This record gives sequence, structure tokens and C-alpha cells, in this order.
Amino acid sequence: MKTPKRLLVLLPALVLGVMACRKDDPEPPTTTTPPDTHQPPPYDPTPYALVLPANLPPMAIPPDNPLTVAGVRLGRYLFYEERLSGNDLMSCATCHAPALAFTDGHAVSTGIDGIAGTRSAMPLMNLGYAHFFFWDGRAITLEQQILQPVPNPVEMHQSWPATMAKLQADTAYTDLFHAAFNTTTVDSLLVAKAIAQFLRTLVTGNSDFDKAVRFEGVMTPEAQQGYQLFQLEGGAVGQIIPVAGSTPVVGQGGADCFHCHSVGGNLFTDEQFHNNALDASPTDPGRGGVTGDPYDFAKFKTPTLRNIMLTAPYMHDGRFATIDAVLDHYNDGGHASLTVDPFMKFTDPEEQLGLTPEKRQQIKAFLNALTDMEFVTNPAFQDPGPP
Amino acid sequence: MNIRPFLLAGLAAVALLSACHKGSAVDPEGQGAVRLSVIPVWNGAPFDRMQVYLNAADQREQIQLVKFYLARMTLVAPDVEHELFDADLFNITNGPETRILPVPAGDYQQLRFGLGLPPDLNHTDIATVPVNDPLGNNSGMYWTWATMYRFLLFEGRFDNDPQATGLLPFQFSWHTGLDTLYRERDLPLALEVPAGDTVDLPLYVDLARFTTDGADTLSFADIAQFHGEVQSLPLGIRIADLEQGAFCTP
Repeated sequence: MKTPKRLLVLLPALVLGVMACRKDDPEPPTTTTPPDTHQPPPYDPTPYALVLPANLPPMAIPPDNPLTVAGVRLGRYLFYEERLSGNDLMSCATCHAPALAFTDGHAVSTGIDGIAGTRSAMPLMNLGYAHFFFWDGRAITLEQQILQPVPNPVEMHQSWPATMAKLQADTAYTDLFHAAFNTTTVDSLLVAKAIAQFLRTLVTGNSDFDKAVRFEGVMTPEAQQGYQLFQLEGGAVGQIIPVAGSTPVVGQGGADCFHCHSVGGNLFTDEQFHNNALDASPTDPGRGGVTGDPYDFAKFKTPTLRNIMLTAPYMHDGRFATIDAVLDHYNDGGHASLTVDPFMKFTDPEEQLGLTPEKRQQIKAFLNALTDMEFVTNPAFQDPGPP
Repeated sequence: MNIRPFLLAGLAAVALLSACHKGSAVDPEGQGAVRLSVIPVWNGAPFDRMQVYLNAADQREQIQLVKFYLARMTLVAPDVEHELFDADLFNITNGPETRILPVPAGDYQQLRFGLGLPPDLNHTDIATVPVNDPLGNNSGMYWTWATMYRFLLFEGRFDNDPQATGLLPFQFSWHTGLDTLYRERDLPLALEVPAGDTVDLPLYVDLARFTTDGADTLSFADIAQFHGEVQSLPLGIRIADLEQGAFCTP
């Protein structure tokens, strides 16, 4: 009979099989993964109450990205998140450090592959008021701007899909995304929205200048003199300043700063593009590289002068290491070129803006009065650590 | 012959015609719209910013920026006026700028507007205005030294030698502002706006007339830069007057 023989063969196999299923085994063999019991925190659309200093204009928040507590919190983590870069070593804050008014102290920034860029890291403050981003204004929303450095090969050099995969694998982040956007799916647009929300909270308006404007304090007499100079046309009082091809204009004894660094709205930028006479033969197309218009060549966005004493080196390419070098440039008048701004009236080597040592000191005192230490040390803006 | 029916019919016709007289040219019940286009031209021809023109002062001229406020833009009918907007900023450097604006249906015979900002708007506290508003900081139109707005930016390059070729060596930059230089303009119009329809309202700006009106001609050699300086104000007044005359309707 063949059956007992077969049973003899099958029995040990059955015993082995049963033993394989005994209770002290770690897990019974199964073909399906256990159900994920992790529940993300609830979606929390609580609005973020952005408090603006009384002397700053109202800020227009895009209706498709309102500020929420959860969104700003997520954006802050992402701003300091090094996994946004290809080697997990560089975050937005690497080039935009709070102590330096969100710049990096370098003439131009260097990416993860050791490749230097061509332009200086712009300071990040009062960005909710801007309508152009980057030195050449190639992004017209903050969200658009944020999408660019991550995949840029000379910056963070990581594709957005790779970035999203890293964040998606971290439950802490999927929780934060759910709280902020009601989804656990990480998406580059949501990353940009969250960081934009955080950046819009970086409001500076508590410098000595601001406090003086709001009658909460006073600037030093030297800074007040500097403010006067800031607001006046250049050249010595009564100085006849030649205008190429035309009749001369008369100097007012000021420093000529206000044309571009408009005090209107207390933002210290006119949000326009200018060629401030840095080169006789400019090589960086600046705004012209965006518009294709030859008359936009070598024009760059006017940066704010708020916290300017913390953001050296200066200009779009960081060519001036100190504020004194900047004042030297404006005092000498720079170099004429096709697109040089009409307000750069002293490009003739024979002419000067006329900043005496005393005036320079007063202007620097005023620029110091634009430093807002409460802004750069604000705990809400610092690295929150891992999520 | 019984003329009574004819008399009644005649009276009815008169009554109907009276209802249509000019004093009731605007139908407040019916809403239409105008497509206001502010169109740059040079001596009546389409303006091309890349072109070098010869101006009335016999200078080669290339315009790089034309940006201005128009205020209190108002359509006028015999018995009613309708303000299209309080103030708006137009940049016509690269071509026409258009706004579609609702307006009561009717027959309008005049277009009235200001070039620049009237004093009540000119003295706005810019710190209270959203930055992307036409009067906000990002307009690039604020004169911080005057705590008022610039009304018009007219910039470009020129050459005093009309025979020369190549790049233009000099820059001009005329910026008007200050309450003194605010100008108002009334232009004739024949504009019928039917209810439920949008009609074109072209407003031409002849940039050649920014430097001449035939009688008065300004040369960039006389004034290449004007930014509201008191000592140059007489020239600034001429600039503002010429700019005012550059606007016309078809």
C-alpha cells in the first residue's frame, strides 16, 4: 500500500510546518503588510495672525496661499531642511542665515558641488511686499522663486521628485503636511507654498528708524543728519552738475539715495530695476536676460536698505566688501554705459557726488539706524531643529 | 375730416421723442461697458519703442519709458457724468494698455480726465496703501523727498546731431509731479454705449507732442533732466502743458 508510505513522508513535513507556526516565532508568514495604524494630526487651517508694524503698508497675501499656523510651522521646518539638497547638507538657510539678515556673507554663493554662482544671496525680509524676485526679477511670486534653487545645478542640485521622495518617507513631514494642507502627499508646490508662508512672516520694522517714525524713540542726531542727506539730490549745494548733451542741474548737497531706495512705504526700495553704473562694459545681462530688451541690460532690482549693515558684501555680485566701498562707488559716480540710470549723474570722472567724511559718517549712522536686531534674533525665525 | 386721432398720435410721438432727448441720454437701468485703450502714437502713426525718431527740436530721440497716472476718468453726457475710475497707472512703453470698465448705457459726448493725481490723491499716505495698488510703493511712482507722487515718467535717449547714426549718446528723464503740474483735459467724444455691450474707447497719446505743440518746442538740449526742482519749475510747467496736449480721442 502506497498510502502509509506517503504519509510517512508527509508527516515530518507537516510537523515541521506546525513547528514553523509556533507562538514564539516573531510574525506569522503573511503576504500582506499590517495596516498602518499611524494617524496624521487633523488638518488645522487656523489663520496665522501676522502683526505688521504700524508704519509698514498692508500686506497682500495671495488668496490661494493664506497664512496658517500649521503652514508657517511647516515652512519654517522646510526652510532649515537640508534634505532639500542633493547631498543632504544644504538648506535654504545655508545661504540665508538669520544673523546676517538672511544672507550668507559671501560675494556669491556656492552650491553643493562646490560650484560658485554668479550672484550674491539676496536678503530675505519684507518679501510679502515684493512683486519681483531674484536680482533680475525672473520670478513674479514668492512661490515661483522658491521652486528654483532646489533643482538648480549650482545651488541645491536635487530634482523635485527626489526631494519629495525624501520628505514623503518621513512621517514627521507627512504629519506636518496633513496639518497644513489636509494631505499626506508631499508635493513641490505645497513645499513652495509652505516656505512662502514662512518667508512672509519675516517682517522687519523695529529699527531705530521705525521707532522714530512711530514716535516710540529717536534716532541719534548724526543718523537724523544722515536721513536728511539720504533724501536730497547729490552734489554740493549750488554745484553746477553737467548733464551730458543738455543744460546742467544744480546740486543740493545730498547723497542721492532716495531715488531708488524709496522711503515711500518705509520699504527702502522702489521695486524697480536700475543700472547703477558698476561697469563701463557690463557682462551680466541682469533684467535684460529676462525681458530680452537691450535697454534692460545690466539693470538689477533695487534691494532694500533695511538691515544693510548686516548684509555685506554688496551689489548683485558682492563686489564691494564694505559699506565704505559702496559709498566710494556712489561718490565717484561709477561708469557710464548704454543703460546707466539717469540718476547716476556723476559718471563723468571730473565730477563727484560730494560726500565729505562727515557726510559719510552721517549716512552710515542712518544706515545703522535701519538695523533691526529684534528681527534677526527673533526666536520664531531661527532653526527649529528636526521636525 | 376728424383730425383728433392724428393729433393724439402726434402728441404721443412728441412724448416718445421727448423721452429720447439728450437730457436722458444715459439709461441707468441698462449697463454696458467701455474698453478703454490708451494708445501710444508718434505723429499719429503707431509708436515703436525700438525706433529712433526725429523730434521737433531736430534731435534723434528714442523713448524707453512712458508711464503715467490718469485720474478721475469720466464719461460726460449732457445731464450726467460717470466716473470710470479714480486713478490708475498706465505704462504704454511697449504698446497700448487696456481696461474694460462698466458704464451705464447711453450717449456720451465728452471724456474728462486728469493727467497725474489731483491733490487729494497726491497727498495719500503711501504707507497705508497696499504695495501693488496703483498708488502703492511698487508703482515706482513715489517721490519720497516731496512725499507726493510722480505723475509721469518720460525717459529715453537722444542725440543733438540729427545726422548721426548708431547709439544715442545722451539720456533724458522728465518726471513731472507736484500739485502745480496736475493737468485736466476735456476731449470731445461721440460714444454710444448700448446696454449689454462693450464698446471701444481709444485714447491716443501722441508722444511726438511731448516736446512740441507746434507753437512751443522743448529741446532735450535745454532740459534733459526734470525731477521737480524748483529752479526748473518754469520748464516743468511747459513739460506738463505739452503732455496735456498730447492726448486726443479719434
